[in-house]
Amino acid sequence: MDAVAQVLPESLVSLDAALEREFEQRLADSSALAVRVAMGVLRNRADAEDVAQESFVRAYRNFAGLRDREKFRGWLVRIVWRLALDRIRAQKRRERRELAALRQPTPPTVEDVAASREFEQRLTTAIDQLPERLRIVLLLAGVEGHDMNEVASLLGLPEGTVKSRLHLARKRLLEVLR
Amino acid sequence: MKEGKMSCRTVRDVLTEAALTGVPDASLRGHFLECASCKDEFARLVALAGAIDRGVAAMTSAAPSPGFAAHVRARVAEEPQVGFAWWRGWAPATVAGVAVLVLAAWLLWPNAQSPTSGDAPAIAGKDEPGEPPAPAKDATEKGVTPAAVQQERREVAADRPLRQPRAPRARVTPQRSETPAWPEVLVTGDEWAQVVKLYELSQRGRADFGKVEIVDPTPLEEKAQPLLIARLDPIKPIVEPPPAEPQ
Repeated sequence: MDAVAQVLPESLVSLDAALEREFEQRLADSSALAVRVAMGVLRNRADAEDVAQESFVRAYRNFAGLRDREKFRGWLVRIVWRLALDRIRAQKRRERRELAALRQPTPPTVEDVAASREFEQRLTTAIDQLPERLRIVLLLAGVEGHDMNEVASLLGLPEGTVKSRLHLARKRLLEVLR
Repeated sequence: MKEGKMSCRTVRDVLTEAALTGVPDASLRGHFLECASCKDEFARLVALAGAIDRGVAAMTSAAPSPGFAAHVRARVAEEPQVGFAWWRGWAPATVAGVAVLVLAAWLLWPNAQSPTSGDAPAIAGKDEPGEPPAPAKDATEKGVTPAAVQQERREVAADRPLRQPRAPRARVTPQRSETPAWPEVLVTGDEWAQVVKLYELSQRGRADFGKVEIVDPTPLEEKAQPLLIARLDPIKPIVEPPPAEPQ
């Protein structure tokens, strides 16, 4: 990471050069995963990219302290997940403040209700209602190329647990949306 | 609704599970042959399950932008503390550990308590159990450490009644009006040098005179030596102890 190396003391760079190279490799390998997980929570590309980048910055700060670097992807997923949820909560708080400022407690119109019944919005809402332990499994399983074994590895859970949680998540969505 | 092997109510309860797999079992297939409504509902749920899966996949199908890695590098470079100094991961734990050790040492140090927190002052000797009391000169040279004092506790109150020996006593003018806080000790003549040594240690913060204890196994009552009561504010005794009288 040349940009970092330029601002570091020489001794520090030489000491950590191997770690820098390793982090660079992790960045290349896991960028898509970070963005997709963030996208699954935020459903907004700009926010998802921002959260994914912030997650890598946090991962960088603590990369040297990560004992088992083979678990980097799972660690990164948890960072992304937490930051994305924080972003969602902050957005909701901001929206509540803005709504309160507007002081327009009028009920939604018929057109609004009709629009809110579009499938995508319903699905989004239903996913948001899922418990976190089910939601993260559902989203990670939805990331292209992730089978149960990989999701289990990312989350540090038994594969059977991942399967049952995914099944329960899909069942709940189906019951809500039927 | 037609009557089949399974009632429609029972079928509706298991349709969701079956729709998730997309494959109805034999009993459901048998019911579908007789109930078009349940069959249609099953087909609708299968389609809905597929739509859910596709919707979830669509939500998580985003690819990072071409400049993603560059943005990460730029943000890392803006960090106030960058780099992978090896100790960074250990620094908080190290600081916490040192703090705990310092606190523990302070709490467990034999004379860490305030001089005013103890009882009346006591006298300290330094000899090992079973050994005769050492001469005052040797005791002064060896010194009396707080740890040695701590080894065998045998606190003796200053006002403990000493019925024997009937040795001559020297009473020091207390001058309490000037320095009432100074402790007084009851000490045999050959222990005076040890007391002085302890006093010096206390002045350097290495010993607490308020908690000095006797480690000399010989009870004071058995010592046929003259006793001296003296204030401890000067290092030198105000009144020199009289020479020990042979028994």
